[in-house]
Amino acid sequence: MRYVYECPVRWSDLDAFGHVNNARFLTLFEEARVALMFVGAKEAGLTSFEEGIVIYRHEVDYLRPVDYGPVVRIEMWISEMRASRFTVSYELFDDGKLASRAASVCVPFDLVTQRPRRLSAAERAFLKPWSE
Amino acid sequence: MTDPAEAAAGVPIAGPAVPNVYEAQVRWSDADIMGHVNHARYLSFFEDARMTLLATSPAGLAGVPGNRGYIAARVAVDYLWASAFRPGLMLRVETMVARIGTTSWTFEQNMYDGDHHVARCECVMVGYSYADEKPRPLAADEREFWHQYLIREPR
Repeated sequence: MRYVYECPVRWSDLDAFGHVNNARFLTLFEEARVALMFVGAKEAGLTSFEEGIVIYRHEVDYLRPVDYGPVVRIEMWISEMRASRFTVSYELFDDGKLASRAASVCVPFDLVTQRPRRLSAAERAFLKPWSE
Repeated sequence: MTDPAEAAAGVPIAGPAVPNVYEAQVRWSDADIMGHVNHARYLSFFEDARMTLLATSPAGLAGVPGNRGYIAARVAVDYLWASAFRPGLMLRVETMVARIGTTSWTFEQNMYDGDHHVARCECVMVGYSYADEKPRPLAADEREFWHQYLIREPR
């Protein structure tokens, strides 16, 4: 099942070409992750992601430029789950057209000990419905 | 007392102006190390509120073919309250017009986190011709458009 997030685009996301700057795509994808793993997880009673998670790797393919408009649609799912990391995949649509594909490898992280940790059973259960 | 700008626009004085309301989505990357929404990002929220409103105005959205051209000549922000970042936070921006001149107009914007008044912004906009590289007079339809948002103090 895919998680769908409509992300507002800011005027300041545009560069001199009038397109959303390529680096800002990571910020838009981040907003989709925050909506599911912080806001959505909290609603489900799970706050451990909010307490510490870091990015191990990002990869982004740019398929078409994104113009200024109210929102872009981000579809997101969990494409891989391992003991201490998982991969979030995304597709970004502008006016219904696929504009970007991306993936982020996320690692749960203990901010006190500054070390990665394993996914808990509760975290796995939360992510499982979004796995594809 | 008749406002000269209103007289020039030929628009009758009606009831109190209603602000344009814009909901700014605050991003994870807008938070600073203190856990507050970073003060510099406020300018982007005010800007997004203005650009959304400008896109519906006769002047059109900047950069879109047919737009009449305008620039921001001044932005001043007063910080009234520190908004604590939390995921999913939306800030409400209310935009009104404080003054309409010959070539310029002034936005008065207020931002709220729920009931908290977070910041106030004054932004002077100037109609600008990129072809002539100089300010241009505002057209009658622009004056009329901004007049809807003009703050009318009881006198």
